[in-house]
Amino acid sequence: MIWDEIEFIIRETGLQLRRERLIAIATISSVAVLLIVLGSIVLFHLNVRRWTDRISRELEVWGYFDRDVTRLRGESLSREICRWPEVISARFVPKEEGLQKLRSYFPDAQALRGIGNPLPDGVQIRVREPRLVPDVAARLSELAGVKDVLPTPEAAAREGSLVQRLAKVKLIVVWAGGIITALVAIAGVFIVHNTVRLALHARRREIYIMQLVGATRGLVAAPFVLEGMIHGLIGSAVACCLLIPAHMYLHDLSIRAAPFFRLMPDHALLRFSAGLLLTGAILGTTGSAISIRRFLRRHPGWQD
Amino acid sequence: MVDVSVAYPNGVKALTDVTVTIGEGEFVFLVGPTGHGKSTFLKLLYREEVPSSGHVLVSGWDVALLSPNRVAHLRRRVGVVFQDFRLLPQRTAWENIAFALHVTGTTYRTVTRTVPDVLAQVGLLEKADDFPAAMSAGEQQRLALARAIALRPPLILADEPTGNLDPQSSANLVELLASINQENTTVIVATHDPAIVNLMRRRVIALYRGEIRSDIPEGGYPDDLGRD
Repeated sequence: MIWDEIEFIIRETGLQLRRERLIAIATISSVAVLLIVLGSIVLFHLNVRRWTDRISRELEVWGYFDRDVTRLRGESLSREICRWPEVISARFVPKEEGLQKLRSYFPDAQALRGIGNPLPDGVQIRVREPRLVPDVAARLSELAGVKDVLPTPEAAAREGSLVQRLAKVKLIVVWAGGIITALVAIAGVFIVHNTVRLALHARRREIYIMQLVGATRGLVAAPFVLEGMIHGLIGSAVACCLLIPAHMYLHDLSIRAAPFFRLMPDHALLRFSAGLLLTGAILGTTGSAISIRRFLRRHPGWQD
Repeated sequence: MVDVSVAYPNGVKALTDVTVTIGEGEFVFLVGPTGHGKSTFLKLLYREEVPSSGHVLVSGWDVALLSPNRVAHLRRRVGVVFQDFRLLPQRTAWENIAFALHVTGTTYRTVTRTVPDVLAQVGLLEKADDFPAAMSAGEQQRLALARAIALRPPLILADEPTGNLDPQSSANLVELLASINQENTTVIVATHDPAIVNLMRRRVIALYRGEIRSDIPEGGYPDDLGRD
């Protein structure tokens, strides 16, 4: 019996989808537009967060040893620094590697060719948290055998404020993204709710007859809720079809044009797509459930 | 019904202290001028309305106390036919009946068996694939009756079922109702058409200004109805 009811609900939903094409197109396109906006915000949000996280992670302090510090002593100092509680890693960088790195940063600089190596041996330090950079820089500058520190403790203090600003930007992005996402989601529910209301109005006679012959509320509501879910799913699939290729294109572009600002890799978009599809289904289901619930409360098929 | 009164928020009293018992398998005409409580009487029985006071009992259930889901189950035991047919214009005759069966959880196998049976019972088997718009008023009313009896309810209510029909179609429909009644189904027909009431000579309950004016076991249409 339950399978017959399920079959009936599916058949009725299919019939409605075929019959109310205009309403279906209106709902699907509204959901698609909303989810394109929503998806763009989420993608922007995810990319900015990824970028700020990476910058925070990559904040480094460099120490350059006095020229009379031997390689052995430099390595020993690096190991000592590595034991500092603020430090994640401290790697001894011989001057040859330093020059190589410098050349890789400036491949076109002729001035770096044909000269000797002006660089001393150094130590590359990664700190646990961006706010600890000034402390590490200050401590490093006081260490015997260390001649120069980059950034200098003063510059690090200044950069600290940059890091703080970055953290603020991240916080703003998180909050603004969250609020806008919530607003767009609410708008989505309302749009589906209103389009389903149109469908309900168009089918009020059918609903009345269902109630008259003894259909339960659940059976009256189910085809509409399922229809809303399908509209939401199709709308989100349309949004995915537009957003994913656009993001992939921008990702390729970012690799060529702005390597320091890499967008999320393509494989991460799978989870995003699944999330967007789920959001569409939830929007559609919620919007239509609210509509049918309100409709049945107003038109219960009897006097309360 | 026991001491049933129905008053609308605007103060109009549709029924006043109505007490009546209709037994299983009876055929009853509910007569009276338009606006004197016939439709309200029927609406109480399928719980489209609830009494302001008193009790309405259908198959032992006090209809005013039913939960929404119990109302649905009550309605599966009450078939209703209206003057304006209330068919689904976008569905064929077959689909109109099948729809009513499906929404009450009837299995597909039972639907396939029941629909031709009821269509044959009302003489519309050859019109199974026709849409209501392609049918005459009499055929549409028979289709509405087929839908009402599809679940084999023990009670059939007909609210002015002949109001839109010519005399011949009216007579056919009443004959159909009588044949359904012979299967021990209770039939209550609200009408102000003296012709069908006088033809059948069944129990007649006359409503006037919301009160029972008369209740005659094998009566005709009361001549004095309409006079104070």
